[in-house]
Amino acid sequence: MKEDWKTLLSDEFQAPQPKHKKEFLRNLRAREVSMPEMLLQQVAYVRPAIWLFALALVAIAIVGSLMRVETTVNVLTMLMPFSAAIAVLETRRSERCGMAELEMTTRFSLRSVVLARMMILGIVSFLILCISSPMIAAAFDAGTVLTAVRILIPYLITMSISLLAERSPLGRKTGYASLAIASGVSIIIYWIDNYEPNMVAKYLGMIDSWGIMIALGLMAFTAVEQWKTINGVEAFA
Amino acid sequence: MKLTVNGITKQYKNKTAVDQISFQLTEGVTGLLGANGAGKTTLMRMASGILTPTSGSVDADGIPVDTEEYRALLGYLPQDFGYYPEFTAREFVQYVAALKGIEKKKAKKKTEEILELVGLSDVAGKRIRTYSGGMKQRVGIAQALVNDPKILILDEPTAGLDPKERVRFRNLIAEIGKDTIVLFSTHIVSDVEHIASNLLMMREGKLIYEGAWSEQKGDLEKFYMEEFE
Repeated sequence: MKEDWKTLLSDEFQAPQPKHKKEFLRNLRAREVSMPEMLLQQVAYVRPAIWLFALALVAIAIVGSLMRVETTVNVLTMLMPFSAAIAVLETRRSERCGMAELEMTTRFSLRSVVLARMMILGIVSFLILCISSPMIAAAFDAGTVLTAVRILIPYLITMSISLLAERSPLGRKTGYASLAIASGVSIIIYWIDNYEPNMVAKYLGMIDSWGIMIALGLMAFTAVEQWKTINGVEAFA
Repeated sequence: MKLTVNGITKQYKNKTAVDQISFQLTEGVTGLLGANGAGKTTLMRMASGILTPTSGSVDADGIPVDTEEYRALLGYLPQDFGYYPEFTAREFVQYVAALKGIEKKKAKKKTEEILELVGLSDVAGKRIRTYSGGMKQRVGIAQALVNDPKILILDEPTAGLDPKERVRFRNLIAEIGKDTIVLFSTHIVSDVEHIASNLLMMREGKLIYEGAWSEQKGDLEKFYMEEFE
């Protein structure tokens, strides 16, 4: 009986066709999008090669620690600068691919896009550090914090210099200055590790005494450079 | 809605690319005509918020050009645009939709609608790098339309389109112009003659003509040729 009434009523009283529906929908204010939502959205557009490189670094740390390969930390310190270079290169990906002008006119401007990408890659690097440092430290009876500092310092040096270089006229012209800087830092680390045992001892001593302070100083310097890059990204594009 | 361009100037070291230009636009199609180097692209980039004017202002119903609120109203097709090499047309339009703050489900639906509208549905899954120039231009138009913009700025949109595509594009713009402010630049007079209800003409950074063009005023192409000779 109830169903019959429903049918009868809906047959008798049809809902009117919506008037000006399109105009109404167009006039609706766009919803707010939070930063975490923006990050999740941009995660989907991070290139697979970047994820693969991050996974490779974690794999090296895990396998090296489990098999107690003594050079594990050295290899990681040599590869982390490339992780920094990739992050810096991402700040110019829109410009390189000719997407910058388009991204500057969307609701979330190019600046927000670059900020989101840098945050994602920063989180990825932080996760690499969080996974590898305790594993290596446990495998080789070293302090977790000092191991993290050892891996982090070349990363921060590369990132800060690369950010500076990519903003310079020469860096803008060449487009891949970050990779050259990362290669330079890695070669220096390799050379010191293999040919300058005295310097290694001095460096490790300095890390023991001043490592945390140096890392914090480099973090602050890198943060300033990142801020300058993000602020200038639309002007440069 | 009213788009107000108020005395904007863009000065580069020794050159004034755009010199004290003012106009107001309401819903309808406005053609911006001018020879290469007249300042059309600079003007459009300022109206899109990409370039900051040296002086003057741009707003839509009082919403300044440099705000998120303005960009939410905007659809823009640059003269030259690129794409991430791995993108298909579908991914490209969805990416722009995401940056325009459209939620995923709605963006997917809207992307399919727009790609259908520009005639790219059957190749939407193919990488853009395999497309012809005209097809790439249609992808560009699709991304500009994905958020149902109230202000649509198109810089040389007919470049690279073949005659058939050009006619189709004109019809599309004429339809959109019924309830949208459309400003499109070109140096092809026939593009403007067919669909623009309003005309702006630029020469050496200055606005030399503003208003509707009627037959009583004579042949537009002749006038244009005389002005730019």
